[in-house]
Amino acid sequence: MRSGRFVASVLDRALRNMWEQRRLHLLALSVMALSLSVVGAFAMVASNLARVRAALGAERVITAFIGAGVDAAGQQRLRGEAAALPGVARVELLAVEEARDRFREALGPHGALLDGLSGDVIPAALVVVAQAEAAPDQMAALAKRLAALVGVEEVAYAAEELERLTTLIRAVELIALAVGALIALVTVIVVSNTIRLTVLARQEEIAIMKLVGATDSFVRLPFVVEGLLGGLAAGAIAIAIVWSLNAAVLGAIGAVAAGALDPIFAVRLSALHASLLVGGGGLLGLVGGLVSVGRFLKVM
Amino acid sequence: MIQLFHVAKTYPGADEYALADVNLNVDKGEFVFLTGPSGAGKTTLLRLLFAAERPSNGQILIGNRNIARLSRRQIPALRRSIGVVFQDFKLIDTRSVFENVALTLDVRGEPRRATRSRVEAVLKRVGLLHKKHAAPRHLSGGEQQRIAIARALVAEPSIVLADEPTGNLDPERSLDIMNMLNDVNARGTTVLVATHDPTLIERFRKRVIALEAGRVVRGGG
Ligand SMILES: Nc1ncnc2c1ncn2[C@@H]1O[C@H](COP(=O)(O)OP(=O)(O)OP(=O)(O)O)[C@@H](O)[C@H]1O
Ligand SMILES: [Mg+2]
Repeated sequence: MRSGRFVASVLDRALRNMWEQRRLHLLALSVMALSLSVVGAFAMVASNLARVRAALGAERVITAFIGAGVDAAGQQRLRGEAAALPGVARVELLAVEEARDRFREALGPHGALLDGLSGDVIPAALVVVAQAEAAPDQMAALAKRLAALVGVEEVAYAAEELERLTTLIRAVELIALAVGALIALVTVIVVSNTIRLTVLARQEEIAIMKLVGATDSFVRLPFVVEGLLGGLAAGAIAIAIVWSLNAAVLGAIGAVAAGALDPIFAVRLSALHASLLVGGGGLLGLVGGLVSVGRFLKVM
Repeated sequence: MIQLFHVAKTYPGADEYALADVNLNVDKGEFVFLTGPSGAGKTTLLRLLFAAERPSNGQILIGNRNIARLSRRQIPALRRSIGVVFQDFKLIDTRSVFENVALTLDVRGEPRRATRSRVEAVLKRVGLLHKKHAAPRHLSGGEQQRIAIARALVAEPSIVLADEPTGNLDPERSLDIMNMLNDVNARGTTVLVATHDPTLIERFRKRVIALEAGRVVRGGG
């Protein structure tokens, strides 16, 4: 058989089948697209959380707040003690005024709120920068040592949040995995049954094709292509759904929280996840197409 | 060309033979009538020849192929060497007349352009070119039969099996069709026609193989 003509005939019949069974295909397409977008949404949240984790993990700054009772000399002494701790690259002392200015800067347009406050409300602080290669547990150890210094009231650093975030990411990933597996199963069942219905509608035609000398692959391939095309389309639609969901969430957050939650949603679907969605959809469709035709080839 | 040795066929679940100990020999280029009363086994015999059924017993040779031992993968090639006119036509209702006839060439991967001219030529021969876009179910029984014949002939197979090809035709049309099969035969094609129409057999004076209750009673050769 001439292969060009064979491919043309297969594509021809696949597209024709899809058009003639368009209601059925639309149904399967919706189910697949929705399933894949749920998986895609989980993937997106997970990769955003991972990005936040990476950012926090790279944060090497620990802030040690100094008690109000410590005088300027005490503050300088504390600075020296902190600088002597292992793993410390650099220490900066923020005086009361300086600390207030920085805080004011951080508050932006709301900075005027600070105007009525007396000096001791905003404590002086040591900004401790750890060495570049500091691992999260080294950061934790350093924070503990800083907290133990006499005169230091409190320490704050990003790695603390990191731990909570890591647990959250694990949970999201686990749920995504479970939901994804369940959805893949459901999708294969839906797709293979849909194609089985379209095959059923063509049972007689298949038998006749075989009687006039069609090979099994000649009969089977259009249905496999049907599944594949449907799956790829569902993957593409899922990407669009996840994408616009993300845009909507970003829009809503932008209005309410002025960018505070941006990091969590800033990354849209990654290219890897997007191609996985399309590839996964295609694969599911392919499998669905393959499993649904076999039985009807044994007609004669 | 076609040889049967002690061929028997019992359908699954049936308790009587559809065919029992059939021996026959049809030479290349022969024209043979297969006759016998309804239920004698004519259709069953033809179905064995294009491997739509497996014999329960015996050997079937077509050319040098042993049909009884054919694997699934070898069946399409066998069927492409045989043009079959089915008793119940087996036309695809959702396809046009043209597409039904073209199917025989499509499954062979024939180029589209060649397919078009060959299909139109054969439709012209059966007098249905003007109906090529019609759906088979909108045609009369006789017209459907002629489409079935066109589909069997379009690929110019080396063997033509026709199961009651004139069953739904008026005498004049029957004659046309038989003349067509005769032409095909004159060009070297082996033709086997199952019929229980005695006037046809009388008129064409070919070799006759008679079946009765699954046995060859006359003309097995
Ligand atoms: N698929 C089948 N399953 C069971 N029995 C069958 C099947 N097909 C045919 N038979 C039986 O086998 C016998 C031969 O049938 P067949 O169709 O070959 O006869 P025929 O000579 O073609 O008859 P007709 O002239 O009516 O077409 C009959 O008794 C019939 O009932
Ligand atoms: Mg019959």
